[in-house]
Amino acid sequence: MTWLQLAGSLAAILILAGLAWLLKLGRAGHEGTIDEPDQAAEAAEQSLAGFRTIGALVGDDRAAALVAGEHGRVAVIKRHGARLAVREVRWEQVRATHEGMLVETGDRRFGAVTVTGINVLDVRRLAPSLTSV
Amino acid sequence: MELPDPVTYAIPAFVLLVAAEMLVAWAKDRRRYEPKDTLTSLALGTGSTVAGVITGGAVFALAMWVWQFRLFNIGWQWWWFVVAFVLDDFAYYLFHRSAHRVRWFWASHVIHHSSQHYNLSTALRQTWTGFISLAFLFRLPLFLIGFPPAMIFFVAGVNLIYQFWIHTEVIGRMPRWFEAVMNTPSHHRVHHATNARYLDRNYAGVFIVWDKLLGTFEPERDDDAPRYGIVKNLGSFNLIWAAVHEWVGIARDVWTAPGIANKINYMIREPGWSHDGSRDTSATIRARWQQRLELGEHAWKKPTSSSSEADREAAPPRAA
Ligand SMILES: [Zn+2]
Ligand SMILES: [Zn+2]
Repeated sequence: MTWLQLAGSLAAILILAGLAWLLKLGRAGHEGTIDEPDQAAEAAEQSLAGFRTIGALVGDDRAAALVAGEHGRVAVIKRHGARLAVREVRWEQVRATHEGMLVETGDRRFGAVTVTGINVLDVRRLAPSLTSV
Repeated sequence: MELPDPVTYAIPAFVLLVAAEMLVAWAKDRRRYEPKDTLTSLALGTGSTVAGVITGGAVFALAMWVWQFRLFNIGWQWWWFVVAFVLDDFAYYLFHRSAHRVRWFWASHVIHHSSQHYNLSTALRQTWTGFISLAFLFRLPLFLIGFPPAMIFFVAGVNLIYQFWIHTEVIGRMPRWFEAVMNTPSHHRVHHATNARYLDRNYAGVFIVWDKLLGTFEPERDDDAPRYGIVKNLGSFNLIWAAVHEWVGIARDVWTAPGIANKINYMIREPGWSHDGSRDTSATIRARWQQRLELGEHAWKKPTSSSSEADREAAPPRAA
């Protein structure tokens, strides 16, 4: 590989990424990705071995969701580009803010996730056995 | 004998084919590509080429050193290229299988799997740390047999080029005879999938027959569409994190694990292994999935409450 080839590769990368952006790839009509609680539940069960959903709450911006599972398990789902990304957390990592429920995933690159427009009452309804949130 | 690096000549074709596949995605399903994911994949590919140049000299010197102890003198006739190609592909199979079963090797290979998309740009998503993971070890026996290093590196380049076109959802199935012998988009989609059924399957480079012979083959099923990525998806497009995250994970585990045996196991056992059994490996994931199948339970189907106002009013408040 010469410097010229390296420069060519970098130029090609920018052209291709620019093309993907110009073609509006990765976007499907509307901004959000999680349209239904079922979608969040499915994502949690597919990503986390043995996870069985009790209920799911989708944020009103459709960008994040909280899924309660059996045995006190809980998953947070976030929109990640055109896909969803899932993390299992503990209820202690979920707390209420004025925007919604904030989930500290403990993973800096994954980041904290806010499930907008839901509150403690919604969460208790979701997982009635829960006392810690 | 001086042989060209075939990959260098293939790069312009790679670029054109990625662009063509983007146009297909634009027409059919825009979610097949994600600009940030594509940018990360292509940058990882370029970085991988640079890393290859930096370590290439040392790898070639080692190959030449081993070659002097060769068992046979192998000439430059064309049929030796064919034999070299087939044997090198088997070496690739062994390398690739180890790359999924030994965490030290996986730490490099995971980069190729860390995209949740499956398109031609994913093919270019290659590791930066293959040298540290000792990937070159798997080809050394070929030099010991007597294949000239230049011949092996040439056929290895052709192998890599072959693997480019199979990273696509545009092609469904190839003709039956082709699917039987060769690695195809369908077989390799299985390899990139995280569905329990598909985990740790189809390690082939060019010839799928190695998987069939050694019991690691799984056909793609229309009723189990592949979901791409890794068991614990990164949820980040950060280039550097994609390149090094598993190394950081190894370092953390080795640092905190109790006892020297556990520390070593965190480096050499399969990905997901943990000293207290608190994490999932492909074996535990498959076992739980099978258990669920046998119990006749299906995945989540019941309606769930949403956060919409209508639902909030419908359900009576219930405090814990
Ligand atoms: Zn692989
Ligand atoms: Zn691949």
